Amino acid sequence: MDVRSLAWEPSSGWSAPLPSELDGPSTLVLAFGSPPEEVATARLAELAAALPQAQLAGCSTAGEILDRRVAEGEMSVAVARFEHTTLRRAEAAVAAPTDSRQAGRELAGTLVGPGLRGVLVLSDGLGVNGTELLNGVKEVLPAEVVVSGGLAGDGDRFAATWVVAQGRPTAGVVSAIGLYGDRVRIGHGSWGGWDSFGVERQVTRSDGKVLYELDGEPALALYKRYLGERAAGLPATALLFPLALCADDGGAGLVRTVLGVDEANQSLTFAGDLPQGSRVQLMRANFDRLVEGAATAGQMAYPAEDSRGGCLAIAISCVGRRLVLGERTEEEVEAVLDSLPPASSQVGFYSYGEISPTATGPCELHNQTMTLTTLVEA
Amino acid sequence: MHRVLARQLRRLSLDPATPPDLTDWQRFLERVERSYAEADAERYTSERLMELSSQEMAALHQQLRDHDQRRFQALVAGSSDTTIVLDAAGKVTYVSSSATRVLHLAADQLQGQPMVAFVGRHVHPDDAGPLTATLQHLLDTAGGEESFEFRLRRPDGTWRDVEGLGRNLLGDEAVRGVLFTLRDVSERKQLERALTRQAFTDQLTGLPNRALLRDRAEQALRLAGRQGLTAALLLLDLDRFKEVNDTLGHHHGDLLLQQVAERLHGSLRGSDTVARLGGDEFAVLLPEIASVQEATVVADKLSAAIEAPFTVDGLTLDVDASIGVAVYPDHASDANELLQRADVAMYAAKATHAGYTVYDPYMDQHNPRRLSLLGQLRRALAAGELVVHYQPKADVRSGRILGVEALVRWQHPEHGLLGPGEFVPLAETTGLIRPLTAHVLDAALRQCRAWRDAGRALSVAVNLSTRCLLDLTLPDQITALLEDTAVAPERLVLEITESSIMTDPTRALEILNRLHVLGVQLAIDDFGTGYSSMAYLKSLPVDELKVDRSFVKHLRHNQSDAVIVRSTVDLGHNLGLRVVAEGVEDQATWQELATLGCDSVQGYYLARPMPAAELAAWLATQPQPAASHD
Repeated sequence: MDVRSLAWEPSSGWSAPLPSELDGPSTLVLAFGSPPEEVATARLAELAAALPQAQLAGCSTAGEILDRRVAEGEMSVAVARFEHTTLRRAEAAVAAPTDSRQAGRELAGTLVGPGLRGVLVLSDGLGVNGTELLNGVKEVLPAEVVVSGGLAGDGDRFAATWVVAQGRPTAGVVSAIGLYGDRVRIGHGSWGGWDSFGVERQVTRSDGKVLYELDGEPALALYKRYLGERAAGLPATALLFPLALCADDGGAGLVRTVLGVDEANQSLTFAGDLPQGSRVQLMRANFDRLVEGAATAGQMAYPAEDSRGGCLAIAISCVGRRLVLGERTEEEVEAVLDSLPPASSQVGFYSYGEISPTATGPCELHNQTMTLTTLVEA
Repeated sequence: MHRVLARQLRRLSLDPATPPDLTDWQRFLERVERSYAEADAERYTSERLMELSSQEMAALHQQLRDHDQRRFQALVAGSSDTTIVLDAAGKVTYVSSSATRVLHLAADQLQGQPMVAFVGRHVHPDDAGPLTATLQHLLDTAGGEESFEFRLRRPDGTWRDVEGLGRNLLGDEAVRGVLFTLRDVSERKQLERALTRQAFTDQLTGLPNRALLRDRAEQALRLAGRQGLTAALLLLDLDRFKEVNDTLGHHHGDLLLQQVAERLHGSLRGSDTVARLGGDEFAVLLPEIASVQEATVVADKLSAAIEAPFTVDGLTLDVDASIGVAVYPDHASDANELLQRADVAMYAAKATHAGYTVYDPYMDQHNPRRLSLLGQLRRALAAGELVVHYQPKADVRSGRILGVEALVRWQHPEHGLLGPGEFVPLAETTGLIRPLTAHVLDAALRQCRAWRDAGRALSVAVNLSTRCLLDLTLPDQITALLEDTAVAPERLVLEITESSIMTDPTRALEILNRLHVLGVQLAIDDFGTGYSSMAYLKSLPVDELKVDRSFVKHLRHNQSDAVIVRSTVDLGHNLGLRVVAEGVEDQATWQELATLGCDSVQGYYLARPMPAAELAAWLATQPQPAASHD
């Protein structure tokens, strides 16, 4: 396995010549970025021209990650040529969120087959119900296939996201890359580092991902009270307070992050469902706990095989973490890289939702986590 | 230099030792200013949420208090007070008309009498002393005020609760006496007592409940903390209670829980607290112990108390207990933490069938040490810290040694020898279980080959986890290992649990068939604890059933276990399978298994698991099986 990583910056262009010598059908090109869409289109075309046989995947971001660096308005690219692994790409359109489950089934159905070890899923970040998408994927794929990935981002604007489909930035699409073969090793880890605080509240009115009322009070009013003067920064500042969905058994529940607010009906839209009647608690994090959480994700995903040559690490972290970490965001990216074998390359992005296996199932939609996938060939 | 500052310099390609030009300086200042603004915003948010959440908590608290206050008023409304006035000598000079209702005496029976005489005749002996002292104190203290409570005997011999307030108004011209107001508060007291009982006791068993246990644990820990004492918390969970409830119904389950409560209570000192936390979960608080060992002695005693059969409605029932032990201050600094630790230890005891387990930090899933243990496990594999021990298996009739079961141990540089329960589940949660299993398979097959070279024909059994069983590459890996070590496939036994197979029956069957074609022997481990259908079992290409140790343990004393073992043996033989019993701890059980028709046995009575070298010496003392060649 041969890995090269490079960046594109508006002022200086590509940081290295495009590695066309790595081109081949078993070459994976991952491109994450947040330049204006026409710039992204041009850069993706350059990549496709230099690596015509490779499988190209990527999406828009709320910040792109390359090794130790986090940037905005740039492109982060990793080119990995596998020696013993076969790749396949699948794409599915999602016209409305209700199509999400069907799209998951369709993608998994296209990729399922002998030797399938892992699937990397990149999804539109706003028009897709991630929980349902993964439900569809889980219906088809065997339990031992590792499914990871994330939902595309759009800075802290929540306006428009895209995913690379047929080589072009496209909205309303989910893409997936399947990895096949006996020698590819896929490690994964996902960790948050948030703590819940304050009183438990009941969801007294909600509809799927839209939350209207907590304990009979408009949800947006509650967030505004907690944000105080920082309410001016809504919807982005709502990311400071994710909600913990309390599990029935008192154990650790799911974390839900805010993706949008609606002043007209005083509601908040979350990245996953918040069933009416469920109990929730506000959450909060500080710099150190988030950075520690990122290192934990790194330890969990540490490749099981000998990997002195390093591995390709795909880091997908939540936009909410970026908002809390601010100028210190790169600390979590560094913490991840430091917990991996030396000579590893890291590429990734800040997302609107992370996908990673859990202890109990092949994949789950996470929020507010650092989610890491490591690839290495034995 | 602060790491944020260092990074800001690096991102702008600035050297800390060289002042930048004006443009760079401005860019640098922008970034530094952003950091300060972020830190301010973070502090603002922290302070705001602290203030708001404490306001919300206070409001919640106030709501609860208002509620209490209203309930109290509702209770006392309707009862009116009785007023009594004493002179300086303690004689009654005035009684209000309601005395009949409150004190059950006509006013003239009290008028002119010394109050102490009334106390002596009508007040509960335990309350008379303190009440007399209070009266005297009031008579002696000008302007003094005291409240008190006492129990009053009614003419029918029953007791009422009376609450009173006394004020020395001897100096007040209008009164010139000591004024008492008394009211009957029996109903309120009763309700309070009932509420306290309800709030703090478990309705089914009458034992303290979780709330009271927590309260007592907090008290005990405060005391222990002050006096430098050790306290222990034992959490106890019944292992086969669900079966009782499912098969006999909740009525029997409830009766059993009541008997368990009585036994636990009877096994403890008066100062210890036993509580029911819910379901089949109990807790025991030992507020004052000398050492961890003392707690384990109690755990043993409780285990023994639960193990003896119970008789419920004429039925003999057997249950076991898994007990988790956590000790203050060794394992926790407060009651909450102590409960959590004991809970973790209890789950460890359950997972390892250990009876009881003392808490150890690396059991704790949420403990960072567990994660570090996971990291170490990877290196331990490479460093050869994972060693394989072997437990022999013998023919039940001849006693000849047929084979061994390979059991992995971790020779940890800090924690000593760790059993599989402490790290295999951890490895199962990650891909590490594959290299770990490969390591055990490799070691076991090499050892098997070494024994054969030394003239000992032994089979070797290796446990397969769910993840390994469902690995499509497993048959090829095993073929390669068998070829590499030149061990005949039938010498290798793979042990699989029912639940592993049921995770994905179709796929398991496919892989098991491939292994069977290779000639490898397959055994169902822990048989009887799963829920696999007999029809499905018939379709599996297995060679051996291993009866779960929980049935073997009580075989001689529990009729239903004996029935289960006998039917397993019959079932196995009808399907042409060998039947092995695990967990044989004494000769009588061995004998019983022979009578039931079991084929082979394994357990501490024969030998514990041991390293290969030790096993060689042990084998030399055993009868040599007929020579065989692979």
